[in-house]
Amino acid sequence: MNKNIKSILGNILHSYYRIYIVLLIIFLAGILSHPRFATSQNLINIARQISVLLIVSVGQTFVILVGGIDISVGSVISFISVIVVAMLLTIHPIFSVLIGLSLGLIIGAVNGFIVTKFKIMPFLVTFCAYIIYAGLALFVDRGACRNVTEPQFINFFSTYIFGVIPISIFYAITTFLIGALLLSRSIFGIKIYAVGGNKEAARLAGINVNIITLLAYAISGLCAALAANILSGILKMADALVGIGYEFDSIAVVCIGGTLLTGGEGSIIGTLGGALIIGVIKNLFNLYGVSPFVQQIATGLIILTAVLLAQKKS
Amino acid sequence: MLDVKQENNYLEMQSIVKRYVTTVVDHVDFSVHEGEIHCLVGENGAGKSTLIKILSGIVQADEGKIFIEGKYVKIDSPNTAHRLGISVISQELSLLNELTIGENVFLGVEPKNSIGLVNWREVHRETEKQIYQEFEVKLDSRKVVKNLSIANKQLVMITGALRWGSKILILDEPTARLSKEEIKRLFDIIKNFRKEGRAIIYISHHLEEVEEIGDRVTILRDGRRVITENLKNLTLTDISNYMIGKTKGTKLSSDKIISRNRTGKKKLLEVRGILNEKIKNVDFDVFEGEILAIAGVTGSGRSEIARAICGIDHRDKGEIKLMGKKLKIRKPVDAIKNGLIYVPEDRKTQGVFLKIPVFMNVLLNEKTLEDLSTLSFYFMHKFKSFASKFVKLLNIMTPSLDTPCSNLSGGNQQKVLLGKWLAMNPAVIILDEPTRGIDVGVKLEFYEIINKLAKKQNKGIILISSELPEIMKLADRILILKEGKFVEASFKEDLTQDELFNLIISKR
Repeated sequence: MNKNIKSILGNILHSYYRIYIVLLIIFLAGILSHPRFATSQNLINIARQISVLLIVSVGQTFVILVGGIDISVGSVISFISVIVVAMLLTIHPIFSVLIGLSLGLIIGAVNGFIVTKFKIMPFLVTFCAYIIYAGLALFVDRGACRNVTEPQFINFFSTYIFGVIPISIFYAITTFLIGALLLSRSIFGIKIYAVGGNKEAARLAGINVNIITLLAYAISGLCAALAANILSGILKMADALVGIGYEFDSIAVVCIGGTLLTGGEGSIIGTLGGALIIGVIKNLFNLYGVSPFVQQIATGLIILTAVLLAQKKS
Repeated sequence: MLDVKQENNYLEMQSIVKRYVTTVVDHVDFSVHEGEIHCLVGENGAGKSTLIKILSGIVQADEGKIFIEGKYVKIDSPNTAHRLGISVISQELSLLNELTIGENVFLGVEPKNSIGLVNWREVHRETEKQIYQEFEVKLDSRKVVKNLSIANKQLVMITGALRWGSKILILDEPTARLSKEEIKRLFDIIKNFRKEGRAIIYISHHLEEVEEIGDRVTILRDGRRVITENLKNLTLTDISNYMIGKTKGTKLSSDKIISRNRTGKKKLLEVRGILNEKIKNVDFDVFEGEILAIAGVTGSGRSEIARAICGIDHRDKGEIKLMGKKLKIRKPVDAIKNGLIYVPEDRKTQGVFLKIPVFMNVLLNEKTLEDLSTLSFYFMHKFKSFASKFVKLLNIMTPSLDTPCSNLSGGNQQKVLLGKWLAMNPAVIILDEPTRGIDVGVKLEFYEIINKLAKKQNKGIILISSELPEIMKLADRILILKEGKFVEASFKEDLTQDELFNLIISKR
């Protein structure tokens, strides 16, 4: 039994050790160089910042594994958060949230349907979706930020467990675990890898390639919708620009996590590592007061380096 | 003899060696004179295409030298070959489909006008003029290549090669998809090139064509040159004897049944009136315990029959019965769930998942996955123990069950592929070129497995193969396919390998 755990652990470490070693180095550098880095308040801050990004990236991982890409997640987040917050005024919060989540699922499924049915490049389909939902968000919002005052909603998405741990971390970990379980222990997961690795062989093996692809996009949409609700809860407001940047941040996280953009190879554990690296680095930049412009330049360089490292592995 | 170095060799390849896993070209000498049509023949896998790939710079030889006009040349890329005046007119037609005829012909040698831009008017005028002068055919040079007939595409390729000033023309199965009239026209063109003093290499499965047009022939077998000889001194039978080697009379395994004795044998598969673009109204049956071979030249529709039956390609008409039950097969999964299995020809693109571990590959089909899982989740140990049975059964050489398939040799990948389909316990298995590109030792293992499946487990097996010794060794019954139709059916006992060969390649 002990040996079994060891070998599983060994396998995980073996394939993803690079990311986690890099993470460890950055983390140690943080502890040694900045006194406020290792404080519990700061660590909880990091975890909270990461949790939204991680949820979006888990969905993105499914889409990228299946050989696609989802550019639309950023504006889907904006759209859902605006819609849900608007609904809070008239509908019971639980229903608002559920409608929001199903809407995300449907938006993703529609993306997947267009990609599979009409054989249009995923980039193009989700890019158009990105523009459409960004527009819809502005249309619903009419340029005004809406504050969230509904106590049940706030309680549900931004309360603290034991008074210290933000509940968003709980949602992120749950999403991560479900994603990991689906990919590594379910038939659906195997089919995701099969379709991403070799579409024709998957078809010949009797796998319904279109359904699997569609489901991957639907999962991405659902994750984006969950992220939208959490963001509204944390910020206690919603506006039509809140999701901007998540599409590329999530793609970056997945890439740093060692998942190949060509599909068929990668993992959720890698994605977690990618999200942690991005989160810790951004936090360090903020602690040191690095200007946001320089942050952007550095982030780009970091992603490039990570991808180069990942390529060396394969 | 001809082995003596001759002064008038325009192109000379000396002792060419190319190794992949096995040696595919083994110290082959080859030469062409100016004004000669030199034919290159051999069975599939004899080394013809590798030799041509070396000459056209697509792959590099491991050993050996190439001389053009007595000068040593190093052909390290297709670009170099091009500049040395070597052009390949191939089956795959390497034209740029979206460009116009003129753009294809002048690719890389476009005429410029006074301000350095391409003079398109001249391109199209010259192209039309040249095509008319050479072939007496009128084509609109501004048309996109995509929509041309195969024959006209060939003309465009040849025109392009001439425009480049290519002196060495390699024609690789040029008549594979041409009509009789088109072949005649092509032959006139080739003969004309001979008159102009070009060196022509002609590759074909159709020996009648070789005899009609060739001056000399080089016969390859198993990567070695068997003979180079003046075609006047050889008969067709001589050539085919050299191609398949002298070793006749393959031994039958002891548990072989006489296939004609079908008493008590059930009809497993009944196929009637399969029709689509490639297949013309095909009927056949497969009995239990029988190995039925489908033979035919490349492009005769061998794989297409299997793909049409198994729901991979579409089908206009046709009825399929398995064990008396009529099947509705629209998608691959319908065939799989009913126990009708197609093991595809190209394992890299249609078969194994290279990045996925061995054990998962063995299980990776809709039916096995469904059978082995509970509520669509699974236990790793259950999967691995199931897969390891097949890894042992098929003697798959792998460092571990978790190794990605890409780390395995070709033969072992092929075994993984076979294991994937056997795991479903099918009733009828269609094997498409099951031993292509694998070692001789593994090949023999495969033969044993296939025999066992038919004779011990009473499965029906359809063997699609272009290797005649394989068919002679395994098949009980042979169907010969030509242009999507069966032209001949025979029991193996009534046929020698030579006769089979002649049936396959005889005039269309």
